Amino acid sequence: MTSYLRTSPFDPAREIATFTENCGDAGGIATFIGRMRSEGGAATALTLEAYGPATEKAIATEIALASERWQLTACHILHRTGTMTPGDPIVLVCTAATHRRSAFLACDYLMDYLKTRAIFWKKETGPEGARWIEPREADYTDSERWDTP
Amino acid sequence: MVTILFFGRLAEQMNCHSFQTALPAQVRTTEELAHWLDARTPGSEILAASTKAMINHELIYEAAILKDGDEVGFLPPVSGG
Repeated sequence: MTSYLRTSPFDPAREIATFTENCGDAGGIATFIGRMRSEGGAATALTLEAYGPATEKAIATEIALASERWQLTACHILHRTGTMTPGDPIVLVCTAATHRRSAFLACDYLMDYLKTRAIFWKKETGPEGARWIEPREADYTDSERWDTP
Repeated sequence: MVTILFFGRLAEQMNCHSFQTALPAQVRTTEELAHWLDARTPGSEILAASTKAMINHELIYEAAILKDGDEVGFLPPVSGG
């Protein structure tokens, strides 16, 4: 079974190269890399916790939904857990389709899913201490765009 | 015997990530389990008040019957990735 979670740093460029070699006869490939921000020095570390099997299963379900909706030829997600520092990649989404629009839309949809409904809990640490982070209102608004087909 | 897991801020509030326990006879459902666990933390209504639960990695939407060997996860609102 494919694993979407990584407990240690990954190299997005290497992952994208492997994905590109294995995405079939796709005419369009979209990729998105999310990295940890330093928030101007206010954030020095980010710790992400997942519920391993449940998080993996839910991501697999969303990949299947996106693959069906946009007729993807391939799709891949990698998501970090554990503690990261500014600049570290947190997430990588790769989508491949016959034409570009489907690849863009599926990549955008999957990121909105990951930002609002995926089973993660994250805690940001900085000079002021640590705090649990929740999705921003804009994240929910972005995610709601997909409710209307 | 069931395995109980807490995540995110809930693990901090319950001061525990996971443990195994035998359930007393009066604890038969996830709802009863939440109340039972809350009662072990004086002054707390954390689980019964505001969390979702999963049994064996499946989200449940109302009180569900527990059986021996179940893994019950209590989930605070997710942060997203």
